[in-house]
Amino acid sequence: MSSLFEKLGGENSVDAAVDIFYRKVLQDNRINSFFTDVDMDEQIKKQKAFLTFAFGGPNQYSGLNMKDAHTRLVAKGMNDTHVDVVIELLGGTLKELGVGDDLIGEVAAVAESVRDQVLGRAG
Amino acid sequence: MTAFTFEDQEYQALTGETVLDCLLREGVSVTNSCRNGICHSCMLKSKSKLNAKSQKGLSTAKKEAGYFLSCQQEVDSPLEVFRPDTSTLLTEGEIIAQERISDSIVIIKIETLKEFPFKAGQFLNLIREDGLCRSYSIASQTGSQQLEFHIRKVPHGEMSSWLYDRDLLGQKIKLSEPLGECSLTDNMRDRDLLLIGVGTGLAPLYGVVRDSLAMASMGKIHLLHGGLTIEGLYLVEDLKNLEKQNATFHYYPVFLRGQEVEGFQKGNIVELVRAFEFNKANTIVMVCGDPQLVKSLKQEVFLAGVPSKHIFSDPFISHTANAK
Ligand SMILES: Cc1cc2nc3c(=O)[nH]c(=O)nc-3n(C[C@H](O)[C@H](O)[C@H](O)COP(=O)(O)OP(=O)(O)OC[C@H]3O[C@@H](n4cnc5c(N)ncnc54)[C@H](O)[C@@H]3O)c2cc1C
Ligand code: HEM
Ligand code: FES
Repeated sequence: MSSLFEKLGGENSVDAAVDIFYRKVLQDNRINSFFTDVDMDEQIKKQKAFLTFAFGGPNQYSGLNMKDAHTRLVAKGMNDTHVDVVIELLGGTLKELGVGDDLIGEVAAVAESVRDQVLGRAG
Repeated sequence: MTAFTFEDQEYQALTGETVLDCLLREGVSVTNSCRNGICHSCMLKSKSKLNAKSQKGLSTAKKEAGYFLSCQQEVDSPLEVFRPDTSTLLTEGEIIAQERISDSIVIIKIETLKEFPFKAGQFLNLIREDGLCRSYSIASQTGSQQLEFHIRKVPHGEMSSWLYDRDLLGQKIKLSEPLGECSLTDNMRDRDLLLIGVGTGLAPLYGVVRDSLAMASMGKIHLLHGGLTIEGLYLVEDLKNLEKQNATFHYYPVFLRGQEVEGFQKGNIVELVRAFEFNKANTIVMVCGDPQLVKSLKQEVFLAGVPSKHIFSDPFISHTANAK
């Protein structure tokens, strides 16, 4: 059985999604303030890491450093509503790329699985 | 505190301190400039295990030889660090022309004693005899024998004031290897170019424009040059002539403050770019100059629909300006 990552198209699907997703993030007033102080090239790299993780691909992110990556943001007020928005924009991105609802659901579940770590509630 | 050695002498680094910061604090002289991992002037050598960040952007050969950027390497484990042999890294040059073209901009030309390969659009570090080091973009075309630089004198700026105020004909100066994102590559052929320079951010693009016109196989070339006032715009006549001679080249001088002047656009360059009509899917964008504006302009073209992998930039980051 092929993995979620393979079903989505692997590395190429990340490359296709990153610009669409990052444009959505930058244009969404509910969350863009978290993203504008970082240089675009750095952000693109981090978005790729995020998408690779959410697509179930090979990743270097344990729950612990998922927590570390967001400590600064939790201190700035990041909470559950922001995670909801990120998952919503992720879904919108995949829809634009023609991905079916079942796979979108699987991707959302992967992101959902680290909600507590991202928000610093679990190690 | 973690101990490390430099040239076989031991130093104690404070928590989170970089190799560069620690050595400077201890009064050791180490060439440096941006302290941001961009200019590579702080390169040292080590056989110890290094973090990935301190070797980012280095060639494979350099990585394997143990070169690293001392401003990007925190001392989190004992390291053995050495000074590299600068004679292999630096080239000797001599200032052969110095033309003050306005009350803040000087054009400097440098000839190197041996051959100096570079591509139009790249930058390098100029290192003065006393070790002061700053990055400047090359304004010459690929293959030129002389290296041209456009330098804006910043108030109280050590290097830029020296280059503007002093008479420097015949002055010896050292040059580092060229670096940077904003050069033409073969896979850009047949695409359009949108070149956006702010202030002396025109320098690298001035070379790129002439390279791309020489390549013939490029599509349309749009050059937007922004200045705070009209006095900040330079080489206007040259660029207007180049536009007359080349149907594919379009030049847009833009300034923010002052009276309207015919032949120039008045306005905010970021808004101008937002309204600019071009083929988003097939255009390579290069942005150079003031770091804040570069960041906004990149974001603007990206949101307009240009793929992120088609956007290149060299922000003119200054360590002291960032520290403020
Ligand atoms: C990749 C790269 C390419 C560059 N290319 C060019 C180029 O082609 N032409 C060019 O003129 N410069 C260029 N720069 C900027 C250049 O390297 C120096 O930062 C600049 O000349 C100031 O150096 P200085 O020694 O005169 O000033 P410093 O002594 O370093 O600074 C003195 C004071 O001026 C302030 N300051 C520094 N820079 C600025 C600024 N840009 N605007 C306002 N205040 C400032 C500082 O905060 C400080 O208070 C480039 C920088 C980089 C990183
Ligand atoms: C839904 C679950 C989430 C996952 C799986 C996730 C994953 C990641 C990953 C893998 C990185 C890269 C870390 C690195 O390489 O440095 C990252 C960085 C980042 N994330 Fe998230 N993220 C999530 C939610 C959010 C939310 C809700 C926000 C804000 C609204 C956010 C904002 C950021 C920012 C700004 C960075 C860059 C951090 C920095 O530069 O310091 N993330 N994220
Ligand atoms: S890269 Fe270290 S000082 Fe510029």
